[in-house]
Amino acid sequence: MWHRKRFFITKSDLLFAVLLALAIWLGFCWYIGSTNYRLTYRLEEQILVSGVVRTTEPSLPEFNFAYSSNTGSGERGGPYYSDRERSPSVADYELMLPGARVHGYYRSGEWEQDDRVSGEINLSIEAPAGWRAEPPDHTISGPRSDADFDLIRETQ
Amino acid sequence: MTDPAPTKNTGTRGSLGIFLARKAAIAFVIISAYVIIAPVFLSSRGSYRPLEMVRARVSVQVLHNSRELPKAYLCLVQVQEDGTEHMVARIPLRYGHPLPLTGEQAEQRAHSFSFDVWYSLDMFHERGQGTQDILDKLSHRLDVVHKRRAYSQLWHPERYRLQVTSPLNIRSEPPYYQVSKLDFEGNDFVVTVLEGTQR
Repeated sequence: MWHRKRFFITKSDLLFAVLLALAIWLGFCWYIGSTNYRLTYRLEEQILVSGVVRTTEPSLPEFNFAYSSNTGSGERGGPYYSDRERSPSVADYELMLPGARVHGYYRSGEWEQDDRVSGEINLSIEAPAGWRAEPPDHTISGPRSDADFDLIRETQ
Repeated sequence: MTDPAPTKNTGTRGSLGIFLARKAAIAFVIISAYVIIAPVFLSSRGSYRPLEMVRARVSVQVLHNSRELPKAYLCLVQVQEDGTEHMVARIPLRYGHPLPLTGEQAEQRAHSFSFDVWYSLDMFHERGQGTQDILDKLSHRLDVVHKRRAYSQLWHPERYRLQVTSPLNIRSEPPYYQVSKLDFEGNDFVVTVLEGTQR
């Protein structure tokens, strides 16, 4: 007949199980904690782009530049300046746009590198409602000084 | 002949082999349980945010007299404690804009390159969410140790340099900038490509 006098797990088994579980838990904690800190570097090339924004209306509206490339996208509010003596409807602008980038990090004894070389940057103007930019965007693949835009008021 | 002495029945306990087999079985169960719940730990990911940061704009002016832009790189170099240098990363000087030159330099061409440099010690911040939050808090119990270790082992901007290298023979002024001494602006290299000699 099947019967036993004692519970089939002994005290020593239980102690072993608890200690093992604790050891693995601490190991886990140590591993997760040790990846909590890292050293990061990023080197990013800046490309000088300039041009003229004009309109046939009496003055330019407020606008921002938007750029996107395969290293990221963003917005630039300047620096651009209007040549008031010439006309409030013309503004020269100069932007430094991020081109190629190298970045990596150091975590557990090795530098891990994540290269992302940029190809082309797409530069456009975020015109306010009722305006549109002509051309809608410029493709930037190097420094240039002729990325001009016309802002046109849309007529209903 | 005497009767054999009656032996005590110890069941599955008693021999060393059986003792070890039981422990192995228990270890198997515990490890399997952890393997099953491991994704819960590892999925509690958030993002790294800088604790310490060096951010700088670096410009490189290259003076040369060839028709093409000379090949050169901006490099991040790690100086090991024994003084040896280890190149961590380099980015080519690709798109410079020409600078006007005056007077005696008129024979030469000058191009200016700009770079943004980030160097930071990041700390992981988890998204706190229910049970994952509790698990993360427990795993951060050892954080004090790791933080001290991170500062003593990782955060050494004085051991890193920015410098310009080239396969050509160049003279760079200054030869390098120490990362710990970089200002946000005004870190300008003036690099002169020396006459014709290839290194």
